[in-house]
Amino acid sequence: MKQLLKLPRNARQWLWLLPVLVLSSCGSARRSEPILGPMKVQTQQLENGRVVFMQHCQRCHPLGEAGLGPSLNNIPLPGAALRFRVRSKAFFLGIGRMPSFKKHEISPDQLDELVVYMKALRRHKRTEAVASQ
Amino acid sequence: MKILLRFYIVALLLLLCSGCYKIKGSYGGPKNFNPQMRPLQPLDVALPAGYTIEPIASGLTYPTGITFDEQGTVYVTESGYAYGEVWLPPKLLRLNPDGTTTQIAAGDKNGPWTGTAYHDGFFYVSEGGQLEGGRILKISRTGQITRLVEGLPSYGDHHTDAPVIGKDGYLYFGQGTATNSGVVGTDNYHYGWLKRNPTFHDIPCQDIVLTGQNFTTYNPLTEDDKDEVTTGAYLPFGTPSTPNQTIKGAIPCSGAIFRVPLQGGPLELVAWGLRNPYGLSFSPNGQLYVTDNGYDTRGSRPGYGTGDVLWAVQSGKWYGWPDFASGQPMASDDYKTPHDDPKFLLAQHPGTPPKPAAILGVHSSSNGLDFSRTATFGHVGEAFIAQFGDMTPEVGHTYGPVGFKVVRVNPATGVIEDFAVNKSKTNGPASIMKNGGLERPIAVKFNPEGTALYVVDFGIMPMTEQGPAPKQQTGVVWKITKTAAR
Repeated sequence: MKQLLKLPRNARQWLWLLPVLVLSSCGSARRSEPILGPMKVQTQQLENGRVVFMQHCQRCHPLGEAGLGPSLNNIPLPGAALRFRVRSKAFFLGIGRMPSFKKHEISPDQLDELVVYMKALRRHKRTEAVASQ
Repeated sequence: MKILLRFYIVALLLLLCSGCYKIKGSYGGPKNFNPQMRPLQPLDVALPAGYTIEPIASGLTYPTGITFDEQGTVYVTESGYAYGEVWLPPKLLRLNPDGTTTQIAAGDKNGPWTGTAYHDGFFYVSEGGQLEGGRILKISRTGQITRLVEGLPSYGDHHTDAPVIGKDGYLYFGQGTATNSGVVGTDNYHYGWLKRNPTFHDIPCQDIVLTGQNFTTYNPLTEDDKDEVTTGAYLPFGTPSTPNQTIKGAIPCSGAIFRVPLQGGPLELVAWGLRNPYGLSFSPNGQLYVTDNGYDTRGSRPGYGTGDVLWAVQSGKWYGWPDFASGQPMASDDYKTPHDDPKFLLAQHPGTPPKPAAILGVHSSSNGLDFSRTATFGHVGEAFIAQFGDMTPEVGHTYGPVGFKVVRVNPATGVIEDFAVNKSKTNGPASIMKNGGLERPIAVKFNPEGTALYVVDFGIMPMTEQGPAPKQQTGVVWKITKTAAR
């Protein structure tokens, strides 16, 4: 345990995220079409981000829900934290198995598009068509 | 200050671990296969606006496949054998309009029957072949059974998979691998088959050269607790490999797609290097697609984080098993596990795996698929895939249930959307979510008119501490129709 708590210096700056995760983790992460209605993908950037998400993220976080990895949709991480998480293998105290994605796998432009999509997915709300079911 | 910081971190981590982030584990209590009450509530299934779902048959025992005759009458297969080592006679059943069934044919203890296709007066059934080897059966409408193909290497983890009939007069089917990733290990003993067939192993479709990597485990086949054995790839349990050893290829082989003329004839290899090519379907433009179950985190050579895949099938292509996952090399940090980093087993690869059409959830067990062909139903050209759902903790660990739903996939972009899911705070099977919705969808098929999607729901199968415990008489066939303009 002592070994576990020897924090690398760059990990300490993210400790504030722990209570955020605890407080936010109990909300539902479900955003898919049958549950909330279709998400409007109106820009090319959003569409590109969705494709990047499907190629690299979907397998472990299906539509941002929990899968092999934890759910993403109910964690209010800012864009900078999302970018850090995608690029960096280390996360809290080295816990977690998510791979880091290098620039040849997700380019800087694709990373911007991915973050736009992940935020849009997180913000997606119930539409009237589904609410009336 | 340091003590306070440590307390803060530990307390929050405990909250995270014990609170809403749960690592999914065993459920379902002691292992048994007894029938179980299953409430059915179509309103517990969420669909896109304008679609409705209804159960048209229930009380089935391990249903796996579905087909239609010229009149649109529905037929289903019951698997007979199922994971957990339950042995019942596999069956082909006609679904009557009142929800009852009439038996057309039954097999012996050589299940699982994994699916069926109807063509010109005959049913073609894939017989999994856990005891006597895989077969393709041709069954007349009166129930007379003849063997179109036999002797398929199906005694292991995966079986002879569901058939599809092409316009070229051939029947296409997948053949799963014996093992998770090429090496027979103690996981195969726990599955049950290693004890029955201690010499069984994977067979390559053409000659391959090994790197000579070996894996040492305890020997569950002997009484001696200290007995250890060393096993190489594509070799029997306890047989080590050597560097640059050549393994002779053969047909039939493991992890491949084959085709055979409907009137019978020689088996032809279509593609190989697959793991468990379960679902096959032709898209409206005639392209053959297959779902392939990704590696599990188990056995001597566990994989990690490898999703199930939808592939566009190219004739003669090698798809990467056992050294690649979703077209990417396994010998990569991305798939590293704490105990065994999957290094290459093959010294030379037979080719470069193509790019997947889509990558589906890790452990989702994405199985049966079919393509929408009509505007009446919508989503023309998209693949609908039945996700059986994870078998954790036997295959690895997840943060939440994966699969247990029907998804639709745009094969041109790889974009995946949920189509039929249970209404609950988190995704999961009805028996965990305590509702009357979907349990384990295993096959989907559009009716001949293309106006309704039929979903074969295998039934309740909890993963107990003793292994899978599929419950008899809990299988259901659901019908999804579009009732309103979107």
